Parts: sequence; C-alpha cells; structure tokens
Amino acid sequence: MHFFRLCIPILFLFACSCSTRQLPSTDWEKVIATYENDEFKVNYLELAKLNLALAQTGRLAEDLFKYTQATSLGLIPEWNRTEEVGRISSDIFFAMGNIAYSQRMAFEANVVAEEEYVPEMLIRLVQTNLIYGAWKVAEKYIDILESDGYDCSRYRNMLGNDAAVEADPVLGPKRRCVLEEDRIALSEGIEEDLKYILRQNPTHTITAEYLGVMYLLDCNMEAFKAFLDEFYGTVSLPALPRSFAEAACMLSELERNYWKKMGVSKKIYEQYRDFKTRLETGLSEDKYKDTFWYYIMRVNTSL
Amino acid sequence: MKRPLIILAAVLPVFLWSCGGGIELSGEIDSRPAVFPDYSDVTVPCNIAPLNFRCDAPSGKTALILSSGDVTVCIKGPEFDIPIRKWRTLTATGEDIRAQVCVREEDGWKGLKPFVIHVSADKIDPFVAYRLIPPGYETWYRMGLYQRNLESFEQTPIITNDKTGDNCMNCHSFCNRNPDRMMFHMRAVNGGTYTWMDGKIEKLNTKTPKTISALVYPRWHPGGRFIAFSVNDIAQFFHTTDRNRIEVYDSVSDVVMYDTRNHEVFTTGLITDSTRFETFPAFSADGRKLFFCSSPAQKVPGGYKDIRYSICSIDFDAENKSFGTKVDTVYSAWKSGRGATLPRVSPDGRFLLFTETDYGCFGIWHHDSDLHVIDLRTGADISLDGANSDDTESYHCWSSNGRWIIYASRRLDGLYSRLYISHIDEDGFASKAFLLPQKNSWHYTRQLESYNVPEFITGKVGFNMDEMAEVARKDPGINVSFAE
Repeated sequence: MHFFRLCIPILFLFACSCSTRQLPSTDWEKVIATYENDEFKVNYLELAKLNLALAQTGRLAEDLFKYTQATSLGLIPEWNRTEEVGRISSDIFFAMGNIAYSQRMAFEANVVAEEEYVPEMLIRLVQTNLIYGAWKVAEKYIDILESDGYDCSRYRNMLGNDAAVEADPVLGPKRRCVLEEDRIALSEGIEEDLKYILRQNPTHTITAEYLGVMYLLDCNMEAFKAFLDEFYGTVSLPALPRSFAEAACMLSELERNYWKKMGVSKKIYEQYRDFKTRLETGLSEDKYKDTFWYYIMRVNTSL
Repeated sequence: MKRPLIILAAVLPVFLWSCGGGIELSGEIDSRPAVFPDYSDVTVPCNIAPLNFRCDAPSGKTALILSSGDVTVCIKGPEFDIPIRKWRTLTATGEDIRAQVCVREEDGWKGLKPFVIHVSADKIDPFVAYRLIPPGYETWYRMGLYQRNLESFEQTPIITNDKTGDNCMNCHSFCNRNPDRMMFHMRAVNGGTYTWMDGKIEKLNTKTPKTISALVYPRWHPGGRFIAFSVNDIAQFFHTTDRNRIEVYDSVSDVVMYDTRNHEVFTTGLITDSTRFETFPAFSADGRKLFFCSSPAQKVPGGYKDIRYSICSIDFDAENKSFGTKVDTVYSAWKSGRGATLPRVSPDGRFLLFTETDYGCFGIWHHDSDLHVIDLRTGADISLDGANSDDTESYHCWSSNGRWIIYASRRLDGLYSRLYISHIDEDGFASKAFLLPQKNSWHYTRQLESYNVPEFITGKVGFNMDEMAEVARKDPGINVSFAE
C-alpha cells in the first residue's frame, strides 16, 4: 500500500514532465488594448512596447500619434544593460529586420537575466541563427529548450535546410533583410541601416514604417523628405499612412504642392490648413491632438 | 528550469538495468557508434580524468567495454560514466585503451566497431585555470576565474565577481604555471590589476600619463620579477552579415614592461612605435627575448581588415632592465598573407605556438583562426592539423613538460569556446585533440558560457577569495609610475 502511495507523486511529476510547453507568443491587439485609455505611465520603455505592437499590426505610421509620443527613444529605448530593455530591443530590431542587432540584444538579455536564460530570447537566438544558417549553435539552443519541455519541432525541421527557412512566414522575410554585403552594424546610425535593409528587401514594409516614424519623432523633416522622395510610390511605401501624409502637408510649405505629389488627400490637407489657422489665431488645436502637427508643435514649444 | 523528466530519465535506468560483471557478445556490427564527445583515436595523458561520453543509440540497452592490457571494465550506457578508480586501472597498464560500445539486440549483445584511446606516459599539469563567460557582446552578469583539476572533474572558483561588485575580471596570467604567482585585472567597479606573489595580494592602478591605457594583455617573465603588458585602446563592432559576428580591434597599442619590485613601467621606442600596433607580448623560455605582435597602424574601424600582425622579437636583459636595439621578425604577416596573434614559446624554447588568422587581433571571433607552430631552431612551419578544426582555435598554452597544449576551440557549435587538449611530439606535431572531459556528457550542451584563456597551473591558486575581494573593495591601490 505504501508503495502505491509513493508512486502517486512520482506519476504526477512524470505526467507534468510529459506535457509539452508551447513556445511563447504575443497577442499584439491585446498589448495595444492595454494602452487604449492613454493613462499609462509615459516612458520610453512603455512607448517602445506600444509602438512595437502597432508596428506588428501594420498601424505604426497610421496610429502612433493617437498616443502620447516622445522622440525616437520611444521607438527603441536606450540600452541600459537590463533584461527588460534587452528583450524589447531584440523584438524591435527583429521587427525592423536588423537581425544582427536583434541577435545581439537577445544575447545580452539572456546574459543579464537572473534565470539561466529567458525562453523568448533563447528562441530569438534560435531564429536569428537559423536566419544566418548557423545551424550548429541553433541546434544547441533547440536542445536546451527541448530538454526543458518546449516544442521546437518547427525550428528543428529547419536545421540545415535553407529552403525551409526561406519558406517560413516569419524567418523567410527576415532572412531577406540580411544585407548581402557586410557592413558595420549601426555605424551610420539606425536609420541608415534601415535604409539598407529596405533597399535590399523593399517588401519588408514594417522597416519603412519604422524609418519614417523615426524621422518624424525626431522632427527631422529634411531626412523625412529624402525618405519620401526615395521610397514613396515603391512597393515599400505605395501610399502614405496618416502620419506621413500629415508630415507631407507640412513639407508643402517648402515645396509647393508637395502633398499632391505624395498623393495626400485634400481632406487631410484642409485639416492641416485649419490647424495652422487655429495656431495663428490662438484657437484651441486640441481637436488635432492625434496628429503629427500637434506633436511637432508641442516639441517646438517645449524647446 | 530543470524539468522532472530529466530527473526521472536519470534515475529510472538505474532501477531498470545495471551492467554488472560484464556482458557476453554474440556478434559484431560493422558500424561506428555515434558517440559524444568523439574520443576515438585521441591521445590522452595517463593522469587525465575519465573520458566519459555518451552513445546516441536509437533505443535499447547499451554498454561500453574498455580494455587495456589485462584489465577489462564494463560500463552501462547510454551515458558512460566511468568510475575514476576503474579508469585509473586502465591508464596504469601503460597500453592503449580499446573501447567498444555494445548494443543489446533480440538475439543478444552486439559489439559496434571498437576505437582506440592512446594513453601517453607524458603527464599533464594537474590544473587548468580559465575564465567562464558568455561569449557575448558587452554585458555580463556572473563571471569568474576558475580552476579545474584535470585528474578529476573538480572545478573550484579562483575568484567570482559576485564577491567584487559584479565587475568584469580578465587576463589572468601565471609565472611559469605557478599558482602562487598570478595576476589578473578587474574592470569597472573595483578596477585595477591584482597580483598574488609570495603570499601577498597587491592592487595596482596601472594607467600612467605616459601610457595609452591601463595595463592590458599580460605575460610573465620566467624570472618572476617582470610582467610584459600591452596597452591598448580597444573597441568592437558588430557585423550585419559576416559569419564572424563581432570585430574587436585596437585603434592604438604599445608594449611595456612592468617591474613588480618598484611598481614601475618602462619601455623602449622600438615597441611603442606610433606607426605600428604592438600587442600580445610573450617571453622566450630563458626570458632573454620578448616576443610581441606588430602590425602597421591602420585607420579603424574602416581599415580593420588590413590589420595583420607579424610576430617580432627584441632582446630583453632582465638584469639591467634594458631592451635590445633591433627588432627581428619571426613570422611575417606580409609574407604569409595571414596575421598572427598570441605567441607562446614552448618550455624548452624550441617551438613558437600562435593563432593564425586572416586579419585582426581577436582570433577567437574568427572562424578561420587556427593554431600554428614555428620551429625556432630551424624556422620551419609546422601545421597543427591534429589540433585544428574547420572552426576557431585560439587561446592556447603549453604544459610544463611541453608535451601538451590546451586551447579554446569553437568547433562544437561555432560560438561557445570549449577546451581541447593535444599531445605535441618532439617534432612539434599534434595528435588528434580531445575535448576536456566532464562528469556529465551533456555538460557542454547545457552550458551557456565559454572557456576563456586556459592556462595550465601546477596546483591550486592559494589566495583566499574573500581576502582578495576585501582588497578589491577597500584598498585604494598602488599607483604605478612610468620610468623615463
């Protein structure tokens, strides 16, 4: 009888151990929903999480000014050697298509973690190494995850199989972001790297969103115009999302009818004129709180 | 993180099956066993710890029969954990060990193709010191210097950074493998160079107004009084695409000599030439020559691929604290087309061992890096095929008797450095390398740290870790001066 009593906890443990853990995934809509009331504490880290969620759902350049924004540090926070910033930075670089830096930040996040590793970041190391075709080290990480019960069959099947990586809906597009010609990562700034990525993989439109938004958040209108001039009308940026259209209206102050050239609707342009009138006559601009115009005005006022 | 499955997997087979007093083979299978680590045809020192390994057999029972002379040992598998006492009876025969993995099939036990482990009478130093660190980019969390008993599996910390404010520690170096004459650096919090000599700890502040930086890459003079160092302005960047993920490079560097007696640094213009990068000093066995790496200075980071180090030497007179008046080139990067780093001279003074790499100073990050030997007596190049692989080899050093080298290699997975040991014969040729054995054959799979800068030592390091930590925290340190 005692023997059977002893067996119960052992069998329970065994049953627990046999259940396969699913790899973590993120519901981006849920993430956005947590910021909907706009009462979240505005800091760069929270903004970066929100903006990543917007980017992952294809709404970054469309919706970002619906939320309080604060410079491009709200897109990619400054690296402060913490696990949290390492994790989010790896996610953001991965979304942008900067695989080298995504891998780097995943590695850093794992190194500074209290635990042996951060599962999401070890998976990122699997993904980035598969993208680079570094099969052996990818396999090492898969071995560790599997020994801890994670189901990595999807990734194991890609080991040594370039065609499988390229056909994967997540890894395939990212592999096409790896520059054919090696460069020193970030040596000319994040924006230049994004341009190189976009030129090589024009269909990776999330890179275009991040790039344009980065210029807008830093109020770098000259660089933004150069960006529109290069990419508007291409597969990277076939039409301007809301925030880009608003910025294009402002650029019309420098180049006549620029908004028309960029395919901005008359409605948006008239809103811009109304915003300007309000600004000049001292009327409240609050109805335009969710526009780039309001953002740049606020930034200029605070300078 | 560890799952119950692992515990059960480890415990259950004990109840299910035991190798007992041996097995009888009913036939042979004409194939090689899939084992890890691969210890087939390697040469090992007679005093090395047991070569535990595992057999990745698809299913069923496995066993290992080890035989040497008239000694036969049977070990149950698939993880062959060889008891140290049984291993010693095998290595004591003075003969090679024959290893045969066996699998249990329906009609009895079958033996797979056996392999041989060559046992050398040349002993290896009993300890190796190394740093364990994630092979990462710029951050660290837990880090430490450790010593491993090569005759067993015991690893103990020399010092770990949880005692010293989670700082960075690196560049440990010993005088003639003597564990009681050691130095290392701490960086960031409690920064300084720490020496352990004659039972005394000293903390040194080594940046002087006349030198590029604090002291960096060290090598002890065999006499024990001097330590040669490079001083470097080091930077790194990340590749977007290249297989070598990281590039570490110097923008300036020189070589200087530190005198432990009066805490002075001195040098000569011949090893501090502003038109060249000089780094990685090392001494000849008799201490009369200082070897160092030297490359024409390049504009960095753009010119990083044009940095190729030659190995040069200059006379050094320890009695008079003076250098020679000319620099000789021992290995020419210009002639070979590949650079050389980390020169290490064998204890008998005959062989110069170094890392050869396409370019740059940090061969550990280059997949093309290999070990190479020059016979200083004849000038002949000796290729170390047995020691090298198609991945990185670097961070090498010689055993006291000059018959063994230990070094870091990334051959297992292309990223994590593991320690390999090769026998070097009297002509400088290397036997097939073997992976530093561990008690558990899954050790390396799970481990997320690299073995960095292995250095043989003849015993355990004698300082007390808490005492060292206290010096680090409380001692302001001795300011090193520059002697004109």
